[in-house]
Amino acid sequence: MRKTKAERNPSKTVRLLNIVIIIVATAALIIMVKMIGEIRSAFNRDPYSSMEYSLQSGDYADMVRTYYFRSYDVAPFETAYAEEYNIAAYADAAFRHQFFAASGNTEMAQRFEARMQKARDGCGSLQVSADDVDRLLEAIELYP
Amino acid sequence: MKCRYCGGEVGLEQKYCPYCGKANDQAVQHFSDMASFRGRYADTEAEVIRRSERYARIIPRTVIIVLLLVAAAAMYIISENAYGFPELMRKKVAERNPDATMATLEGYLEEGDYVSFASYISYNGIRTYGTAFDRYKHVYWCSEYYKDTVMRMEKLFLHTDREDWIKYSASDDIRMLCQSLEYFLENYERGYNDPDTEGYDRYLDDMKTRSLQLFNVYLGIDESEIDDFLAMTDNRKAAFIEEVILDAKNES
Repeated sequence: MRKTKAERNPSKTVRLLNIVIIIVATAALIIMVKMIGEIRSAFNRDPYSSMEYSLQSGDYADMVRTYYFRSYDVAPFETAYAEEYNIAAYADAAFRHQFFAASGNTEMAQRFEARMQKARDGCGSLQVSADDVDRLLEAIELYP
Repeated sequence: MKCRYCGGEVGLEQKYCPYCGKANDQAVQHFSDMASFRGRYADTEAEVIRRSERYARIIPRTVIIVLLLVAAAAMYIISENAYGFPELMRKKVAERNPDATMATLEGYLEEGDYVSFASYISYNGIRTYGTAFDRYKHVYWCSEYYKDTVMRMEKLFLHTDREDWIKYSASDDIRMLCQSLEYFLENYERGYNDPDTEGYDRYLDDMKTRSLQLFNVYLGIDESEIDDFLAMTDNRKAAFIEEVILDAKNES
């Protein structure tokens, strides 16, 4: 079908609108790609990757915080950071075992002792870090 | 109509009377009017077509631009809030299964695992006000600050780089530890004996006992000395606790 005169010679307004459409469509496409990336990232976070840095700097308390903050996120033993997860679990259990034992709460102390043992068994190649935690706790002067 | 000269019948479109041959003035006027009308009609029609063609191009494009802008804005808002979606979904699941959720929470309370109790509620975005979980509102806030107190106390001791910690973050960590305890005690006072949460006061008491014991066991601050300690300035608190930590470092 032959184009009309108007179609062959679009007005300045139409040309301007065409350019605006291209710009806005490009921006929308970029935003859409970003949105898809953010959604995928939100549902596929690896919660334990930050633990590696904390472990290297010997910040076991930070590992414990991540452990509690994300422990329901994914089954930790399915991640690549199962050993780091166990170190965090061990550090928390050991501290709380020490606290409950010192404050005379034997039931809770025994419960956390069992958690310590379970976490220790999962530390794998990071046993030296578990020993480090023990050393830090032994150095604490407890008050009666 | 009739010819004004001879009275014979003559049509509007007959320029001359068929009887007397005289000019039909009305027909002349009629043809002149029709010509003028047709001219104006043609001009108007051309103008309407021209404008329609113009708007036929502008309006759809404008609509497309508006729709693209709205879509871009919506996608931007979604991407900025994407990290909240998993929690939103978990919250919906928890609220749709209140019995199962409450069974889990009650389990944590019975075991005395207040840290896991607080973590579970935070992780699942469970609202404890105006929902089926209303009974946990005071226990939750106390458990959140109890959890914070435990973790901040762990922060004082469970890291190897003691010099860097003292230099860069000790005073903040100590201030936040003391703040956690203060907030806990405030929420404890607020929640204790609230008839809406009857039956959960024993958990509040348990958490209070443990919170105060933490300060006693690790910092040597007795329950009777807590108020005086919390009333100190931040600098004095930091100095006090750093001395305790450094003593522990020297021992190791």
